[in-house]
Amino acid sequence: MTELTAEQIDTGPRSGWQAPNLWWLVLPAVLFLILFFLIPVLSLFATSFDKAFAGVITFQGNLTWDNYERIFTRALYYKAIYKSVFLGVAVSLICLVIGYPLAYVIARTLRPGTATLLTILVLASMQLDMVIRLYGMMVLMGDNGLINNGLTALGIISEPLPLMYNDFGVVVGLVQVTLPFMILSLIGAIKSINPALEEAARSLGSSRWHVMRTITWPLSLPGVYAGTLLVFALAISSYVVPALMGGWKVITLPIHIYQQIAEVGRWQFGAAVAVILFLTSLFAMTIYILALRRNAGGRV
Amino acid sequence: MSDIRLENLTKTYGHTHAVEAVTLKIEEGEFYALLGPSGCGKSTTLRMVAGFVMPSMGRIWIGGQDVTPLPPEKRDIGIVFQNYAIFPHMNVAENIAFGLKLRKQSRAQIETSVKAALDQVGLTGFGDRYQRNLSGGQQQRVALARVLVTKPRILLLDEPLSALDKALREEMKFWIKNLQQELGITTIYVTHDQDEALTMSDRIGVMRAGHVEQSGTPREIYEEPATLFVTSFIGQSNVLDVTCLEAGEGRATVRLADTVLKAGLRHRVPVGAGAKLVIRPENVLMGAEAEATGVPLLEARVLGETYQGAMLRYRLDVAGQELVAERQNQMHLACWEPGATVKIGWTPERARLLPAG
Amino acid sequence: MSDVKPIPLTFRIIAGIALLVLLVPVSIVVMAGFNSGEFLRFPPDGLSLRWIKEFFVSQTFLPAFKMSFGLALATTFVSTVLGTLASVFLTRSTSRWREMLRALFIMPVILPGVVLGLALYVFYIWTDLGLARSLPGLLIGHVLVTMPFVIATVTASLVDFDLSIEEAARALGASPLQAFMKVTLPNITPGIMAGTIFAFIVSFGQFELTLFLSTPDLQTLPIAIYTSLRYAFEPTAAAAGIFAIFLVTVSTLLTSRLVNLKKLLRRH
Repeated sequence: MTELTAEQIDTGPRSGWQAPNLWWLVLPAVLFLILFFLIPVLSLFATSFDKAFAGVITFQGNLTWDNYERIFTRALYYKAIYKSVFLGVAVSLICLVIGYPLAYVIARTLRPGTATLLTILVLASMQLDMVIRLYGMMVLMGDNGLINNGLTALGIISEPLPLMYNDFGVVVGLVQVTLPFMILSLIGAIKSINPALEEAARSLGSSRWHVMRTITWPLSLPGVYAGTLLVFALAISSYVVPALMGGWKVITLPIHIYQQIAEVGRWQFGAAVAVILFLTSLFAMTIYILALRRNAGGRV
Repeated sequence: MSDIRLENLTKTYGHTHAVEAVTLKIEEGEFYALLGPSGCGKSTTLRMVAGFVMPSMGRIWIGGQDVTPLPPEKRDIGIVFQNYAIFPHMNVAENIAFGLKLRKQSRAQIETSVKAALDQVGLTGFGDRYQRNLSGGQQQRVALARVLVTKPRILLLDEPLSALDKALREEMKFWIKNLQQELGITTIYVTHDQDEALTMSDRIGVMRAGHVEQSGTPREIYEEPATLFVTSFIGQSNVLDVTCLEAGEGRATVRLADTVLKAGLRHRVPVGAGAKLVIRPENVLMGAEAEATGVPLLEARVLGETYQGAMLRYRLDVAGQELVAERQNQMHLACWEPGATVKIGWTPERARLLPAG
Repeated sequence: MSDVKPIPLTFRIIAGIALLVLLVPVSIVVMAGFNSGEFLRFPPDGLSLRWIKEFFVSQTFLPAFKMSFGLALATTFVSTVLGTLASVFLTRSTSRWREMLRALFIMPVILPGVVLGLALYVFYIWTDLGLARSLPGLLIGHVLVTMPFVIATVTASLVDFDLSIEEAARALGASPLQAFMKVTLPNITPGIMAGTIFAFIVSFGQFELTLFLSTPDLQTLPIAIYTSLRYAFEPTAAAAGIFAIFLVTVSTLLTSRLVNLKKLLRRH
């Protein structure tokens, strides 16, 4: 590892601060990750194959598929998988539909000030503590929330609309939380399309919508794939949104994990649910990273 | 095929005039170059004709039709961009068919037209290639084929050669010109390269700071520049300070140092005041050649000589003003060493008097 | 150049809706924090600093805010140091393990927060090193999820850095270390600072991991607000939220000064 082959010297990065051995630089970070990331996560995976005992966190070594069998045979659990995936798909599609136009405006606006302002707004709303944003959502959408309150005051409705503590509320919450990620994925993809392509199509007789359909949209597909998968992975992994906006009535995989542990204390089974969740989101994320690499032409 | 008329065309961004009151008439079948340095408004003018930029004032007619309010897709024009703008997600054939599909042609018709267009631009068999597999020159040809296949009324070319290397540029210059002549299509060609403008165009409009300084044939532009800017932008010129003694019909008498000379005149130059005398290096005659013409001669001191292969270039000093002379490098002609004194002169028709400033 | 409106009206309208989705919840928090009544209702009651004052004497939210702030500072320090060193390796080394390490370094953000939280919690109890339900245990978790952001930002600025400038320093007689410290480091400082701010914000708002690692006496602001939201909509929580919103807005503005936003978008 410390010796470079002749080929590596020829093709490697140019000399700079690269003494033959730079391992001491990365060593602290790597040790940290091995100790506090790889070992814990792999142990968790191992635990998921252990026989479940309520309230016990020890590794018994009784290897079994029991936990996984339970997940896929009991409706309660496989419905949670189904629910998570369904919510993830709905959220990604909604984010795409409402995020694409804003990304397009940011990428194509002629006023650089507008683009910068909008980008900062999107970035800031992405970075703001989720729980704080959910506070706003809940004040808005609760039975006594601003919407129901206002509509009742105006005499439009007499009974509050069920906006929260159901699938609808969870979807709206997840869209709010994940939308910035979709927009940021799309801006890059749309920006990288040379505006001359759109103008060329216009001059050949295309209307604005036809250009959108035949030129802009197909060329922005890498960003569309990346954004959709990223949002999907984030949506199915979220615990706090279904917990608050669903009020524990919408049971997704992360909710299950927490319930198994906090309420029933079945660690081994919770671990198995976690593995399933991880594999699903890893699958989406892997495709996401591949799409991103293709998008960036291998620069990532 | 149509003529193009621009009337008082103006574009302002905030307080800057990108294009100011441009009025031009481009004849049917003409190859018209808009030439100027970057930022002179030539591209904005072209983009207004194409419909991508809305004029702040003025009108545009194509073939007698006022197209000013029309969006680009309704103008029936063809435009080739600097970077060709080949759709990267479509192959060459699909690129060329793009405009035809919009014109609701039948599949068979499109196929025939695409094939004919590929033959026309010398890319037979390239139909299923993609942009990333094409060289710059090939992309250029595809861009042209894609435009021409829709039979546009006019052709707009925006610096189409600037992305090519020098050798290819020479080749494409003649190829484009031939194609244009063959089709007889009215063409506006935007460039900052005087060489392209001079060799390719029927007429040139030299632009500067948003307006057209001079519009005329390449010969007129080169030999009878109307302003000092055109003089300095096209080719090389010596600009000398002189005093105007007399200004008549097409002729003026001036004094340079202590010599009285004649020069061509197209503009109003106040008598008795300072003016600029413009003369191209290749028109400055030296030694025996100058004496043979019988014109009044000036005394010059040789400051330096540059060897340029086929040409020799002399830096000369005439009564404190520097000028450059160029002559053929031929065995039988005399040479001068730096420091030598030499008689120089030029025929009055080759010199031009312009107002100072 | 072109000023023939390139953006269709429908797009502008939907873009407006998307902006509302992003901004309305935040505005409501601000309104709730400055509201004079117990509940935010329609139409609002009026303005007051009542809840802001309440926040400064609150037994839950003020300590939680301080806790989050301190934890984020500590987290940022550790992950900036570890992450920057690792980034130098990732951009300069020719090792064939480089790509694998790069993947390893992003893993903690790919892993759902709940899974990582559970894994760490089980690990802490197993190893019995006193990390379970402790501040160091929480810090470790936060470093895991913030380091990827530091590495991404610093790596990007190292990749953009023109190596020939460092080579010029070498040619002028600087040692490798001198060249790096005196030429390269000052030039990538904006990137490192942007990474630092990122790390701070991510740690400050981190929820799902914290849920497994915190205890009632180790409450961070997100956990405190979450607990409050489960049972009552305390306006004091919104007042605390206003300070967090201010913090995030300022740091986003700072980041956008430090690194070219456009570059960040192209690469991200």
